[in-house]
Amino acid sequence: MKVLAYGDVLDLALELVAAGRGISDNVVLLVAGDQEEKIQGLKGPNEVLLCKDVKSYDQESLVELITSIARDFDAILLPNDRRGRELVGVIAHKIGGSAATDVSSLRLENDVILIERITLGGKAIAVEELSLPAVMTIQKGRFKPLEDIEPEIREIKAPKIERRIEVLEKKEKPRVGVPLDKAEIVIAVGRGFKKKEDLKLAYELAEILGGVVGATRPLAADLKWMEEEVWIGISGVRVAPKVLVVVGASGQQQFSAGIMDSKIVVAVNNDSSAPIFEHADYGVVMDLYQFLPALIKKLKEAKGA
Amino acid sequence: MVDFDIIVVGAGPAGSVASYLLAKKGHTVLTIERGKRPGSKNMFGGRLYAWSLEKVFPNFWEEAPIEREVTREVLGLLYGDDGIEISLNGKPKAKSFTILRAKFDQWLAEKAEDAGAEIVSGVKVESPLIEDGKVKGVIVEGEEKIESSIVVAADGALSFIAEKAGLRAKLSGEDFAVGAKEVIELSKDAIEDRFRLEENEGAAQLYIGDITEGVVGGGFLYTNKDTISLGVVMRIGSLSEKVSNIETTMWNATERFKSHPLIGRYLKGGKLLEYSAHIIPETQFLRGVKLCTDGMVVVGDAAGFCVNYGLTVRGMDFAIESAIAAAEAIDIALEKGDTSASSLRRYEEALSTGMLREFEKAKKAVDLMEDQRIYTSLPKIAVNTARHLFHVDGKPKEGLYQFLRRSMSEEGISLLSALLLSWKALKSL
Amino acid sequence: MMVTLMDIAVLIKQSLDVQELRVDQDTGKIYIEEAPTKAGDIDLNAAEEAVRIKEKVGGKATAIMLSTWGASGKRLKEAKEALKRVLAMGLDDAVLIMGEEGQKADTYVVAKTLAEVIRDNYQLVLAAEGSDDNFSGLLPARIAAELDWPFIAYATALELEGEYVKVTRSLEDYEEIVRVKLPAVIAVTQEINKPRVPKLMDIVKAGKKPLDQRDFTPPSEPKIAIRELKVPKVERKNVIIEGDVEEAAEKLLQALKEEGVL
Ligand SMILES: Cc1cc2nc3c(=O)[nH]c(=O)nc-3n(C[C@H](O)[C@H](O)[C@H](O)COP(=O)(O)OP(=O)(O)OC[C@H]3O[C@@H](n4cnc5c(N)ncnc54)[C@H](O)[C@@H]3O)c2cc1C
Ligand SMILES: Cc1cc2nc3c(=O)[nH]c(=O)nc-3n(C[C@H](O)[C@H](O)[C@H](O)COP(=O)(O)OP(=O)(O)OC[C@H]3O[C@@H](n4cnc5c(N)ncnc54)[C@H](O)[C@@H]3O)c2cc1C
Repeated sequence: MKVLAYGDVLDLALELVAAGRGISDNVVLLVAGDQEEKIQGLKGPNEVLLCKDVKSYDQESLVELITSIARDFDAILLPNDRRGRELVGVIAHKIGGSAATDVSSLRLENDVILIERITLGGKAIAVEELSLPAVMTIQKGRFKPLEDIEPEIREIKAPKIERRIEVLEKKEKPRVGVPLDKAEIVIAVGRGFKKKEDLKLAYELAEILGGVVGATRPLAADLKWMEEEVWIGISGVRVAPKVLVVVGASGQQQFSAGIMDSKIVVAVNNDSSAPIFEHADYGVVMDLYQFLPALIKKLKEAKGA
Repeated sequence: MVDFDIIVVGAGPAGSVASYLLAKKGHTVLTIERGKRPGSKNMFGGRLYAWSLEKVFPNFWEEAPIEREVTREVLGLLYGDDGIEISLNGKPKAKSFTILRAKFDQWLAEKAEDAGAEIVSGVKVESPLIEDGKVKGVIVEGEEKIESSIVVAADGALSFIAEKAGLRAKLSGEDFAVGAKEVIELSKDAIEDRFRLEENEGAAQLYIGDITEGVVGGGFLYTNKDTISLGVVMRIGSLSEKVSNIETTMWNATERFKSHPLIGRYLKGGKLLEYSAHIIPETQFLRGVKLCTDGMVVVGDAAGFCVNYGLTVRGMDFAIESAIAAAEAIDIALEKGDTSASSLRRYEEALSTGMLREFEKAKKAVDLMEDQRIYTSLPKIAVNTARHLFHVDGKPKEGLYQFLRRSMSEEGISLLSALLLSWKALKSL
Repeated sequence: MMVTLMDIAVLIKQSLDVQELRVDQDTGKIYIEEAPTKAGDIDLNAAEEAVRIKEKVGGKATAIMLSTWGASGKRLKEAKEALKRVLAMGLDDAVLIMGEEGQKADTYVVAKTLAEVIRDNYQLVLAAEGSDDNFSGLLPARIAAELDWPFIAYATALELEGEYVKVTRSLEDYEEIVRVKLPAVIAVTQEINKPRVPKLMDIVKAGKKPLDQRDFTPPSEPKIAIRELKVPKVERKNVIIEGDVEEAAEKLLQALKEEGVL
């Protein structure tokens, strides 16, 4: 059993290495691009393959690179972000392998890999048998990087490719690095807010409670009132705070799948039939524009006292 | 050229039966339902009297998704933690069934579809299309106009379609009732055991007493295959009351009903599947509804063919019967090529010699049930009297007659009126 | 085979309506049979994009569905409903592949099947970034690999330029505008457009558009087997806090204090 791990962000890649260790003693980390310095002293994988002439953002070359070395491996692990998810299906199919996304646990059983992944919009966990070779994307935050092995670093050459995708323009996305997945208190806002400026109510609440603000997908991706990295849910971030306050979000399944691990969920919504109340410990059926100011006031008083 | 011979607004029982019958006659029918699916929005107690649907689909229960055939009727009087249940067992010739609307309405709609009706769900009709004082079709969301020779308004109790066509006045919200209903999952075995039923047999149980805290109304409970439909109907007051208060009142009354020891025993180990509350417009007060105008007829709840008995509501059978009569009149009108009000009036005539009589009788019963004491004093006196009769503690007992007189005078009722009340209550339930 | 200028295949999945899916945490039962299915939400975005392209450059767009729900009457009816929905939006015709064996098919098998339907007949495949019920996004990627066509996911804008298509794709760190020569497979996001709400008469007419129903025979063995579906245990108290605004705020804070989380 030999496992290949690849991720453009090193921290995440080391989580993949840890995940791979669960099924193999031989986990190789592939590093692409300009990262020679960064990998000095890195620990965890049995070996590091460094391919300097493929940029870590060059999806097309990455497909070819990974496919070209794939025959040496039984499993290939990728991060469960958009980059990883764009790669996984193509690579799997090219090598005639099985594939799975959003994997939260994996183990070897005879000659299949047994994985768990969330499915049915978060209402179920599927236990799937993947035949070998298997290519999968691994959920963030599930595996703690190991620091045991000091790997050998080997440089490899990029395969020649015939480019079919021409990148005309590239705009870096602003990243603010809101630590949503690690926050203890999260305020999640949805389309119940009428204007972008009104979000200050949520920010104020977050500030008093010492938390951070996340959003539903439409608020971040469609209205673009917040950065895309803060949307919670099946296609976004999973949160696991002590307290999650969901304000003005309907709680559709694809959102709610991302909040399952929260300890206490509070929901504020003026529609008593909103599905979010099924996912909440405490529900307040009220207009957020009335309730949030009152809550903020009470919290301030409590703090003042 | 019209787009369709007939447009039916609403795929409830009235709409689907009308669609079915008219499509079967070879007319082109478009049925428009605003719910995601037929039946998905329809809240209802739980019992269908079969007499009218039987005429359209003889022995429909062999094929339709019915739950159970009602063979056990129970009337209960609750007071405090105690209660009296009177039951009638047996298979009546006039059948009735417990049903769940989501499944049942869908089945009826499929029948219409199979007969050739075009059913489109998820689209709301905004208003009738009126030109030169005649209904010429409908206008749906997005201001789309669709034309037809006839429109059937089968859009339920609040019928905006009939209202906008000038066939009925705006509902005044002065007095109205609210129904709350839960569906509770229970195993088939537990249901048959606890309600003493054979397979496929069902119970219909009605309760009055202090669960409604003096408000006209009561509780109902119907057994389905592996669920129980149960709830409370209350004539709460005026629409000016805050909706959240009403919600709380209904929720509390339902909880009181469920936790009464007599009821709780039936439900033990059950799992709540759904809860909903709904306004029951007092359509029996909807006088002066016109049933047709040029190019349009009104059927079912839209025409006010629904009776609120105080603790149960009955309207599905009337809805179906009115749809049958309407379909017949429409067929003849289309055949003649005359869709004017006078040509469609045949519908009204057919009803007045048939269903309307039954309907008027049903409404009379309701007027009797208006006496608030039926819901308060009667259960209290009855339960206390039963206690007095059956409980023995070794101390000397007051005579039954004295006891009765005393408890009635406490309630401010004379013996005569108590007897009259009981008689009325039994007659109308 | 001759193809007209621009023929688009839009992948429509018969997805479980997860919002209406009931699961029982106590018994672990998942009521899949009872839950309805529908066209995936983001599939509608793909369909919308196809219709917009058609409106600009002409050509034809076909909805393609391989139903993996077996061959029951109920699922067949729902599959046709789902296809009718996108036909009403403006797609021209539909191919529905369905059969008992479909229940075992994984994305590998489905991709192999659909690639044969697509090859030689279409120049552009549009699909959703993920489905409502499984959200893996694997299918379009596999189809691209099977056809050896370029694959671009997470498209937030599309523009046709002759035999090229310009795509804005949104990844976590960059938004890129890329250009590929057709044929290609593109998976779109929910934000790429707002799917139109079809007119009622379009829904009626959609029922009369050609629907080519074919039997499904798996071209190969699946690579994946689902061993088990488990229900995650999440216990929520579902307490509704009553009272006016002030009281509710007070009660909520009290409750959070008692939980020891504030
Ligand atoms: C495959 C797929 C993946 C998806 N992934 C995600 C995901 O990862 N994350 C995600 O969030 N969504 C996701 N979605 C979208 C998801 O289905 C919902 O559409 C989305 O979560 C709804 O966002 P919302 O709650 O902000 O908006 P809405 O559904 O519009 O809800 C707004 C809510 O605000 C309430 N409200 C309005 N006014 C007030 C007021 N004054 N006071 C209080 N409450 C008020 C309303 O009652 C309503 O419940 C996905 C969808 C698909 C198909
Ligand atoms: C709490 C309660 C309990 C009841 N219990 C019983 C009982 O046990 N037994 C019994 O026989 N009756 C009962 N009834 C009454 C029964 O539900 C009605 O009489 C019956 O449903 C009437 O049928 P209908 O087809 O006329 O209207 P509905 O069943 O109301 O159907 C109307 C349909 O039209 C659709 N619609 C409405 N407006 C539009 C629009 N603008 N565009 C498109 N579609 C539209 C609606 O979505 C609906 O599907 C009860 C009613 C209530 C409220």
